[in-house]
Amino acid sequence: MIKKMEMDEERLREVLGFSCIGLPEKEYAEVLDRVNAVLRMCDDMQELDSSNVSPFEWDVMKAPARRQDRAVVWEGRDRFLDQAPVRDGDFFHVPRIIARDDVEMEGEE
Amino acid sequence: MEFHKLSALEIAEGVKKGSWTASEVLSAHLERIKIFDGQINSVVTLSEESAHRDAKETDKAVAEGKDPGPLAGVPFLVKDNFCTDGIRTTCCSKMLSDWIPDYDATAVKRMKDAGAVLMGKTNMDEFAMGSTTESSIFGPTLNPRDFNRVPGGSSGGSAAAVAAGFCPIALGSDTGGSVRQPSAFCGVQGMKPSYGQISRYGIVAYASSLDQVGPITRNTGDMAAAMDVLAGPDPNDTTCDAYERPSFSQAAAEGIKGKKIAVLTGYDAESMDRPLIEAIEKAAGYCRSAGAEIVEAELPITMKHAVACYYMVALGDASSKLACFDGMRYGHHADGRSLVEMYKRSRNQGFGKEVRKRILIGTCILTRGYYENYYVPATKVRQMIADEYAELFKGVDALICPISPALPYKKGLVEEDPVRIYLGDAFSSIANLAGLPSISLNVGFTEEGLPTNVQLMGPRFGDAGLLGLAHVIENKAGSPPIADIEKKGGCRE
Repeated sequence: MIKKMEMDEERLREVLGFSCIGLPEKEYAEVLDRVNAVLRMCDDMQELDSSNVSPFEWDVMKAPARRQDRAVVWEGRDRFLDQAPVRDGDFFHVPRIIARDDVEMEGEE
Repeated sequence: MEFHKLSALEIAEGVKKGSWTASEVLSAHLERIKIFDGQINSVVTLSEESAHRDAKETDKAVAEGKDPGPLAGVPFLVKDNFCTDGIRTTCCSKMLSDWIPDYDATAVKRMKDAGAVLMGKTNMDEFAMGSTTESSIFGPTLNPRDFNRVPGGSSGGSAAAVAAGFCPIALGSDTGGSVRQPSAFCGVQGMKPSYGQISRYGIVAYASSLDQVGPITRNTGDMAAAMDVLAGPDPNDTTCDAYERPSFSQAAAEGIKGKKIAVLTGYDAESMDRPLIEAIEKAAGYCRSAGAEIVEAELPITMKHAVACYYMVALGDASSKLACFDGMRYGHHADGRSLVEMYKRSRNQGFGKEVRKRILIGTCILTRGYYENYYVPATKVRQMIADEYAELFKGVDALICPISPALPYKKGLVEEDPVRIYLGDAFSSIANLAGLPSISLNVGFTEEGLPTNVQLMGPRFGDAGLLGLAHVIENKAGSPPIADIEKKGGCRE
């Protein structure tokens, strides 16, 4: 049985966590309005009887594309390294990301 | 010589005959962009050095008596979500603001191999999520036909550039109408080919089961020529069908005598802008006078549910596609005290407001409860829509219907009424859901100078026949002129 749903603040917090998006609490109401407007737009669709229908998948190909099973030599390594914010020889130099206490987070979610 | 007034085919013919050089054509177009793009902001990156180099290569080939390719010396622009070797590809987002790919998207490579000269990248809604080209980090693009209106989106920069005479061909990507709706708003011709017709390799994806590359031109002859170059199998995109394509140019020259063409009915025409209804009547009349039989068709499931189905599928797809932009694997990086904080800060700083909202909605509908009640039903409704069209095309050769329910929106509507903007995709998103070819064709202008247009749709892989139909209507309606931006003068605010 398909049912109509609305998103509430608790679910929004959960979804923010799943999507790794931060949102200031003052914007919660606006986002909830928007999400629920989209869900309401979709409510009619649920009333359609689709019980005997399979979910859509692409299967109509005249001639499936294939590629040869062989290694390809890639010569772009240096060009990528040249784009590194900080390069350390043949490596990207990346900042430490776990358990840092030197990052200012003030004013951010 | 006013090169910007020439079609792509005229430019190529002149280059091959030696009437002018690719370098001359390129310089004229670059100059026009530099003089006039300040008014509409359609181009975000110019690649002059590589363009001059490529144009010289074409001229050298001509001088040596070699075949310079079917699009010899034709300057073109591509949307900023196509990977371009050595040229930044930003998706008009802070997330990718400094990314320079080291390869060309297959579509770009095919154009270059055909002798066309890449001049640069065009403005777009951030990550192709929008219908107005107002959410770009480079600022909005304005409609060259009316600076108070949006050019449509998300390929608004490409459509505006073609309308303004900056290039005869531009490429865009179309997930729910992003090539065709801006083409309609800017008064040019835009095509979304069948799913599987053109490789998407090297395009930054929005929703892979819907995305397709499409050309934007000022006439259907150039469109067919671009399709001849762009369509074809690609070992790097297994969704791109390996069947042998017909000549699209040849098909475009064929008539429609004896064809059966349906006109869509059963939708709320009263709520649409009147000139767009008149455009459909006009196009149907042209087809009738060219010897086609006109019938009416209703598509009740599609008309009632397509837009809702589209947003469920597209946003669900998008939220998973964009998960890779986390500041570590891809995209803008911001420091954080923990891994999760780093992800959140990177994504918050890197993505704009609209993209974040769409990711949130997409994530929501893929979570427990919403997935079963919204996403899965949408995938089933999508199948029902595809079936409805398969049934229709058993009896008719093509369908004429609106591409957008409204004339170009006034600037700022997206902030005032975002759901109305979403509903504007009701007609354009159908072709993506069912994988069908679709052309947005200009058929004239209102008294205020706003473009009017129709959407033509055909059966899957019926792209060539659809181009033939478009060509017949265009012959009667005339191809759209270049926007009169010289007379508008001044600079944008």
